Amino acid sequence: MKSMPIVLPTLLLLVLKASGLSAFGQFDPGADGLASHWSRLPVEVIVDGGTLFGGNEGLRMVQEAAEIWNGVTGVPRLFSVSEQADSIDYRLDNMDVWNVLDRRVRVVFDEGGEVLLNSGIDPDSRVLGIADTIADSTGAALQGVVIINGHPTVSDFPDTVAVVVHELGHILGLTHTPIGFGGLEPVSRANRPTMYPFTESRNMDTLEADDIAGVRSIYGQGR
Amino acid sequence: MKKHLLRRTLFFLLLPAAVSAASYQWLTTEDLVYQSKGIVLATCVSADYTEEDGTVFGRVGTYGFHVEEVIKGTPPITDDLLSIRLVGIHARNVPFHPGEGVLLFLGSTNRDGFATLYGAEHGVLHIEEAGPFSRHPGRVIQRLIKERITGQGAFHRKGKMPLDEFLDAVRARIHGGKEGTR
Repeated sequence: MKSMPIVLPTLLLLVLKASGLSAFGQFDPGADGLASHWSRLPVEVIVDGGTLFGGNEGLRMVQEAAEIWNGVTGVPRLFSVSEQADSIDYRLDNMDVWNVLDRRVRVVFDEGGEVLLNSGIDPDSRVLGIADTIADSTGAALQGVVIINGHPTVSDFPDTVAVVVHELGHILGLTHTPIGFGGLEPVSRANRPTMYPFTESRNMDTLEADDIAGVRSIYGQGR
Repeated sequence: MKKHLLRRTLFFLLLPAAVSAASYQWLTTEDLVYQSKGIVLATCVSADYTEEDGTVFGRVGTYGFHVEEVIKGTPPITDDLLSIRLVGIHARNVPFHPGEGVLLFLGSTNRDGFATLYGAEHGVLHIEEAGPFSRHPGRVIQRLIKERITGQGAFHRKGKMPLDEFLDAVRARIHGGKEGTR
């Protein structure tokens, strides 16, 4: 009886796995405050023109992350990343320039973590990135923002691309997956879905079956 | 008062997997104790949430807390009151309610003088009264506590934990000379 809290959820996940179902989730704007989908694809992504990652390195990382999602078959092309980074360095003191409702996504490289700190979150506390969206009454996104924490204690995290991939998953409407979380480990660490909330190491910048099933459920044909 | 405190237990209700859209490096409870800049035991006395212009950063939640005890650090407290302002999705998804008891792990103070949360949702532990039928107070909560708490002694407890016992363990670590070494 003591082991029931572990046994029951494990059995549930085994049943899900055996039946071919997945455990991904989609945001409910009313409950979660985040958009559940984009009504028009591909979603246009504009990258911070700041120098956090040096020159066009930030742009390259976002393009790489977007192409990972664009590689999903059975859905329209999901992201279109502008060829050049914005001419503006997105900062706390010019937020009115980039915090706008224009059905685009801005990727902000938050030098020093100043935007995070102003948001009430200490950037020196292992938060790697945050995704945020605004939805209309149907749940469709009106705005998307990805904040990549540039505080010195985390800006050398070895796989920023993985963080961007994860945050873009949220932008698309995916919640964190319960697979690999909560003491239930039906998958190896290397095969954890990208939408697993804790980014611990490299090898998180690939999509797993749960991530792919999730995005297909939102944007696939016949949904 | 002590009897009152002994009946209180900690619940770890807010987890990133459930409420947020972010990626984190894992923080254990010991990480929170050693690495946070401040720890306070407090009661929420005000909660004001607004959506100013409909944008992501137009969502602002401002919360006031009456501080019962400062356990670590020198957080920005005036007349026993601490203020936290959350902007964006965390303003929605880290809900504080007046009358609610919390243990807050704090980060740096921002330029507007507000305290910040250490580790976002990680840094908020809710305190509730143990109810009369609390022998099995929720298996999910028990399981989450087991995952969150690592180390030895009181921090290795699997079920819900009495507040006094948890605070004793926190104080022991803070005064044990390890602070700032991890």
